[in-house]
Amino acid sequence: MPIVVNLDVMLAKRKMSLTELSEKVGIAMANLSILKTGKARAIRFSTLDDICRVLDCQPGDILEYMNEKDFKKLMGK
Amino acid sequence: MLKRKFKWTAIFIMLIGIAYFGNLFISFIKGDFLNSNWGSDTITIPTDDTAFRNAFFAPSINDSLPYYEYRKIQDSFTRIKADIETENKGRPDGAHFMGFIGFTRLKEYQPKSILNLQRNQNYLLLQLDSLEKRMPGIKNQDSLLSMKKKASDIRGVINRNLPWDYLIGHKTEYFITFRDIRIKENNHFFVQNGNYYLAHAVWDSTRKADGATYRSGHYVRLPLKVRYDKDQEMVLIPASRAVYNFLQTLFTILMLGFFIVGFYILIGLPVSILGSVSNGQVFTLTNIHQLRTIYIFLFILSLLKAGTPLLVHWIISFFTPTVFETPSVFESLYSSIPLLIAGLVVFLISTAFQKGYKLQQEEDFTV
Repeated sequence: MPIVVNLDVMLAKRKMSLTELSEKVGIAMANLSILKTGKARAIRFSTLDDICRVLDCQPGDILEYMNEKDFKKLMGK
Repeated sequence: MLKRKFKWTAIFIMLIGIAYFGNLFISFIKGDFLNSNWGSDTITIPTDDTAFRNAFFAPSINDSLPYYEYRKIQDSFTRIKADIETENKGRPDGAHFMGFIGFTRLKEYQPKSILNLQRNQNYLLLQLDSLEKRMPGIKNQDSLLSMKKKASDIRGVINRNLPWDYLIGHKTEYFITFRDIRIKENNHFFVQNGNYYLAHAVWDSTRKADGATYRSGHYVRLPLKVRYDKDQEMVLIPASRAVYNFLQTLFTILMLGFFIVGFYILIGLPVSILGSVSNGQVFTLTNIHQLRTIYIFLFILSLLKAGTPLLVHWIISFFTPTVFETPSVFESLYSSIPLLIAGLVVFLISTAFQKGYKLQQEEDFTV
């Protein structure tokens, strides 16, 4: 699925660690890690809402659609 | 795709269920009704039936004879008949079965007359023993000579009357056995001079009247390469001792292996699945693989159960002309239906577990 999660980019921009986000959002580190590494199959609106609120960003800043070719290139396949 | 698989499996189960219970219902309602339209068979039985080893021998005794003579003749006939039956059946010396195949040992036939000699021999040997034990204590030469003569006479009787094969023990015959083999109607198996024969009914004419069938025919003597036990519906294929021992060991190992594998799959795996379910790990790949193993094993078992009678019949056809009834394909399939249904049910459970596993994965990876 060529949807890339740019959570790490946003975290870097806001100079925030994953642990801090986890504490502020109230989501387990394991789940945030799944999201960050791109293993997640779905994301709840409530989660997206929490993350966008804490990071002060739009959903589009976190999620990005990429074409198949670029996505494969990114994933190193 | 999954929906379609479910749909076809459900239809398949429904058809099998209808066939199974429908057949049960029909056989319950009708009983032997289907066979009631059979007419009759007339077979010419030869008056002098020595060609069939007295298989059809039904003597008539003159009932005007004095009772003791009548009884003596009757007893003699009964003894002859019993002797022939014993020879036809063989004297069992050990048998065991492993599923469809069995291993039987028979002692070479020993007529009653020889059994009497056996009793006589024991008696004579006891007498001889007693005489020889008493001899050293006897001082009177005449008495000693008389006893020695008596002992010598007893030895002579033993040597003259007892056949050597009895004294050296009887030969054991080895057979590979298949059960549940029915011989065609109006056929009689018999043994003569150690060879196997069949009084085989040949139908000369068949006519139909009032919806019933009437047949008439005669018997022919047919040599067979196998023994047949009508009481146990068993075909015994003669084998050498080496082949018998080899096959017996091979099948013992195979059956043991099959038993262990069956026990593991049908008992061990369900217990393991129940254990992991009770631990909260329901929709896991391990459970799906174990369920798949169970239903594949059940399908293989049902195939084996359906195919074995046909396979056995095919093996027997190498040894003998077609005098045994061919098992019907429907009957074979019918007997394996419960296993097939069990396999299908496990297959459906496995498919449901696969769907559950997918949902579980989605749930686990939803943030």
